Amino acid sequence: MKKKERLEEYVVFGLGEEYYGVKINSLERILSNDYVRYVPNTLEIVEGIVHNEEQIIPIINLKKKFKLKKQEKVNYNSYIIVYKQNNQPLGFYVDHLYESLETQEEIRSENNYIPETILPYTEGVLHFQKDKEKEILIVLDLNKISI
Amino acid sequence: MNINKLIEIFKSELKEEIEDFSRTTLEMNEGSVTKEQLENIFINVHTIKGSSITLYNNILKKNEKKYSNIASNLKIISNLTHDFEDFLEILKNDNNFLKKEEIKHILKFEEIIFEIQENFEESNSELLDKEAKTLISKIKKINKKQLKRYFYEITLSEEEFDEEYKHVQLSILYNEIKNKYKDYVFNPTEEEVLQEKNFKEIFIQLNTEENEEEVSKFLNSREDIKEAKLIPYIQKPININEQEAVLNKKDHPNKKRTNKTSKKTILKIEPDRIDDVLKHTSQIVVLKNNLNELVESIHLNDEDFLEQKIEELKNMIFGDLNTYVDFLQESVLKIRMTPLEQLFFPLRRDIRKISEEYNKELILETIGSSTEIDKTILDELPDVLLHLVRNSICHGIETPKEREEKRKDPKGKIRIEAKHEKNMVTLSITDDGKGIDIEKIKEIALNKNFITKNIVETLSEEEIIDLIFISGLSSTEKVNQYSGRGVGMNAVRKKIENLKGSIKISTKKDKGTKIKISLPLTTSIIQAIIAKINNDYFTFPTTQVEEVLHLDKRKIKTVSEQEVFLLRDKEIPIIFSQDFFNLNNEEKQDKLFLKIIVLRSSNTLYGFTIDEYLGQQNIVVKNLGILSGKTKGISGSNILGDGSISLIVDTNSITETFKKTNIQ
Repeated sequence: MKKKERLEEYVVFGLGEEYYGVKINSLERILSNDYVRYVPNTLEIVEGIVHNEEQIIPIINLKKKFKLKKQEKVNYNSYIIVYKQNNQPLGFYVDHLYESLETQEEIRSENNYIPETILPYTEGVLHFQKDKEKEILIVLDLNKISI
Repeated sequence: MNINKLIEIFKSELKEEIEDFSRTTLEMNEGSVTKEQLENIFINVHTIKGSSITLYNNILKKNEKKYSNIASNLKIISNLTHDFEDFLEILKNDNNFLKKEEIKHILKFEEIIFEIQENFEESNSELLDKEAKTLISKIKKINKKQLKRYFYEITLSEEEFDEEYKHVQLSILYNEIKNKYKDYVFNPTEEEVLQEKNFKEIFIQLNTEENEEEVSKFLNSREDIKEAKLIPYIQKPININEQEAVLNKKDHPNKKRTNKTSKKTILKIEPDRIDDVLKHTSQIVVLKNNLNELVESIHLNDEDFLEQKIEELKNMIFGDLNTYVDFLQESVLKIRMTPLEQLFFPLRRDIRKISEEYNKELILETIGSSTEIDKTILDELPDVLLHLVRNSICHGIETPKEREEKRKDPKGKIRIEAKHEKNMVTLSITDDGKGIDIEKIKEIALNKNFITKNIVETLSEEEIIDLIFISGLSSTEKVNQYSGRGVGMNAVRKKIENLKGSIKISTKKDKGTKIKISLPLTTSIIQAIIAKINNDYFTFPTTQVEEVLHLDKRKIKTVSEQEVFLLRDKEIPIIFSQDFFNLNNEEKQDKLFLKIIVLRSSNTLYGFTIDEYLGQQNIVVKNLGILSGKTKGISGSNILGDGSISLIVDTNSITETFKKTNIQ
């Protein structure tokens, strides 16, 4: 297994039963269950907007973006991850937020099973240890996730 | 300094001079020409000439190949300014009113120089050179009388050694010269001599038909003159410093330049306004301290004083805090306020140009140029205003002949008026032209299939006028540089409505057209109506709201499946908010009344249903960030007192969708 020279820290979250991760320095903040204002007449993936520190942050539903059909509903009582897209804030719901992951492992980019609906937004997958079980998470490239 | 830098400096100087020049010529357009005005433009021309020759001779001559475009432009400028100076000189001496022809030459000169300045790095020589040459030949014809200019450097005779006597000598000399010649410039000026100011050198400029010999003879025969030396002027244009010293210093443009409003990108703020902000800020700081003290002094056990203290606290918050914050808000907003004058000024040049193009004669009247509006709004307006004025000139104002036939003043009149009206700025553009031809609009709309014959019959006059806001409708057959493409009015309305304003047109055949634009004072804080729809908050900018009313459901009529109601005899279509925003229609249907907010989009009114009216307030507009432009019917948001988010309704897109479904 290839190893990176230094540790990389990932924020690990769950959409449904699946694990996803983003590099910790690529995100702005994590909001806990906030008041989200529904916005009519907009894109289907947009859940609404929140007001945080004098900024309006649009919130999207990643499951809809990735066309994860099995469980489209998000856990609205969980968290919102906020990052900057083109210098403007954008957030998405996660169903679960796990402990962050520090690893030296390289991201594996060669895989042939990730569907076309998600692939463009990913950097690859990582293996990690969770509750003595080896799990796989998809590393997302937030720069590529827009509305 | 490198050459490019010098060119840049020259360009900005040229721009300033020509702007200054047009400032004067604009006044000429509207009345008689004074000597002072001619003097002013003379100085501009002189400065342009001086700096263009310096730039060319000192720098570009060696690099002419590399800077061939600029060099040839400079040549045009220096040739033209040279002859133009002579021309102005003659005009200055001619005490009669300027002939129309002569004013035309002045304007043509301005146009050519302006053109060159705009495209300074490009090669536009051929056409412009030709134009310049035509102009030169024209003004040379006027030069017949051939007044000559002489510049003399004077050395006073030194009979007395008393310094003060110099002034006496000089004023005697000046009087002698004044008796003989009508046109002269003295340096030091007469005033300076009277005030006994120190001077080193004496220069005089004389304009006369006399030849060199006669003038020299006259001067040298004066008692007080030891020597009067003729300085060659036109033949040696490179000695710019010398020439500039000769120029009457009082009139030198450099002096004026310091007072001029500078580049557009810089926001100039009067110190008073900053002081206001500081004053109100310090009031709030003091209040903060008072509040802290008061809150600390509250002990819950202390029942006797508790009530009293809470009362005090209430007073501070509801009284002082509210007032101070309002003051602060107002003073901060004022910082960005800019007078509309900045908008009117450049417009004049365009108007003159367009009216010449169409052979129409115009008087432009601007009222309320000191009215202030937020800089961000102001910056959006020049295009809008220009477009509307173009329309007035091209389509509204008739030719002088037509006007005379209609027994109107052959000169058309366009009036632009700005004023404050209830927290808004209204800008109206009125012309006394032929008005909008309603039949023609109908015809074109039908021909271009914007509308069907059945519908056209049902439309009111106002609604037909509204059709000109549809993209692609143009009532001129000819498309030219200025108008006729028909995309304009659509863009104008969009721009105004994006600024949360509204536009309204009224017209009367052969009497003229009036376009009234209402704009909020600022874009960041606007007055708005808050309403509830399906338990969520929505905001309507007051500038776009006509009124809010209760409507008895029985009064709703259905016309071709569209619900309408009558408001003072006008049919108002109803748009159901739940339908428009695709919300669940959970409202109970058994209510007897509908709450309706009447929105204005150009000339047309629409009723928009709401569930609850929560009143008016000043709101701070927040945009939707990455979502901007991706939400139909919503243009932004604002935060209410309790932290909840209200969405600002974009009336423009509501009416737009409505029109699409109905008209097409």
